[in-house]
Amino acid sequence: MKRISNIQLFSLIMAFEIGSTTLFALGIGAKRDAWIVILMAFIVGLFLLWVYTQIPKYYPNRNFAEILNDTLGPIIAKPLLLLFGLYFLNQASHNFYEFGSLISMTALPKAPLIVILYLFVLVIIHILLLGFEVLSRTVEIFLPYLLLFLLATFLFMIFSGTFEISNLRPVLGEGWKPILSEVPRVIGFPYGEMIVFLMFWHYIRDQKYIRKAAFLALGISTLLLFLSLIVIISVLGPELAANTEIPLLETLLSINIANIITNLDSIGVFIMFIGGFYKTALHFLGFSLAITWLFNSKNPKWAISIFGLLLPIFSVVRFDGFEDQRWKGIEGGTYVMLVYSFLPVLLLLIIFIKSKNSTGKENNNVY
Amino acid sequence: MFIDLTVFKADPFLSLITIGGGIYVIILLLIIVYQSIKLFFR
Repeated sequence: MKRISNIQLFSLIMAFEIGSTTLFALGIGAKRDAWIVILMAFIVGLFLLWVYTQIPKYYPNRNFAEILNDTLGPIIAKPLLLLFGLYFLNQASHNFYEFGSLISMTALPKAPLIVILYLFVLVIIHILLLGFEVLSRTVEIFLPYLLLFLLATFLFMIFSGTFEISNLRPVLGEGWKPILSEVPRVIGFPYGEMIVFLMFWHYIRDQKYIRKAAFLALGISTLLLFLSLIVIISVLGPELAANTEIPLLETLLSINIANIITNLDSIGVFIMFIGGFYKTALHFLGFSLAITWLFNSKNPKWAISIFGLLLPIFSVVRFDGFEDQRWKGIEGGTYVMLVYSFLPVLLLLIIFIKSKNSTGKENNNVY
Repeated sequence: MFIDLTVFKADPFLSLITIGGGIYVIILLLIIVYQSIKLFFR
């Protein structure tokens, strides 16, 4: 099994977290105070990431199916692995459909959606069939460009003349209630989605640096999300930011510096495509690995191929349109909290108590 | 009502995940209770 380095893990998490989130105005239900929502969700996200990175410490180099089998026994573990697989498929289909729709709206408006989705999924299938290490190496190549374009976007917006920091005032003008109602949604998207990395920890070469790489990536990506939100609200204002389909794209279209630096929406499409690709690929790989391990197989290629070709059809049947997909994502996000927050915390508690029980047994065996 | 059922009617896949998640939260809580009793009476 080919393993990946810490830098590759860092790059994957960065691309995964930045992926779709910088495009949208997270927590915009809290209007001008959306940036406070991000900070509060980040604190909860740090706790969730601590839980996700604590589990492999008890079982280094073991895959998630083996961890569940050892902890719960195969009868309880297998349906739970299927549940996690279905959650990853849920997230994969949401990301997949969303990005297909965004590409259709911005770059290829006359192309049928199913064609865009199939082209997208064929690239995903091809890279995943080559292996997890190949996916990690491609993200090492793309991440610097993603970061460069994102930072350039922020700089251009600041110097474009439409940047009004006063749009962020007054702070806490509507109190804490709108902020607290938005926090659970932002926890789910993007922080709770990190649970998919439970399926990949065993691919990391240096197991002891998993937590460091993950926390660093999460911290930096939150900083970028925070900056993205500040810029979106400062340029568009809270009302327009809340009502626009793709706020970052809208702000990019508003950039006009001396009539030379203008029409930068292609940068937005690049960010959209790269971000959407890695989010979909990782979630889909998580689902494929879950199905593979359920059937006690070692090679996920058959699952990737078969389910990959079915993914566009599944997504198109599931969602009636972009608005329907958004609504299902926002409304359903609260309920899937059971999977990405409660289940891993309870699982970690069971692992901890079982380890105490087995330590006790060893101490009692004096002969 | 505490839970809005509209999204579950519109998305059966989400319902499956939510029901499965709910069942497993209960199962894992029961396991925690059992393991804690085992640890306590060791």
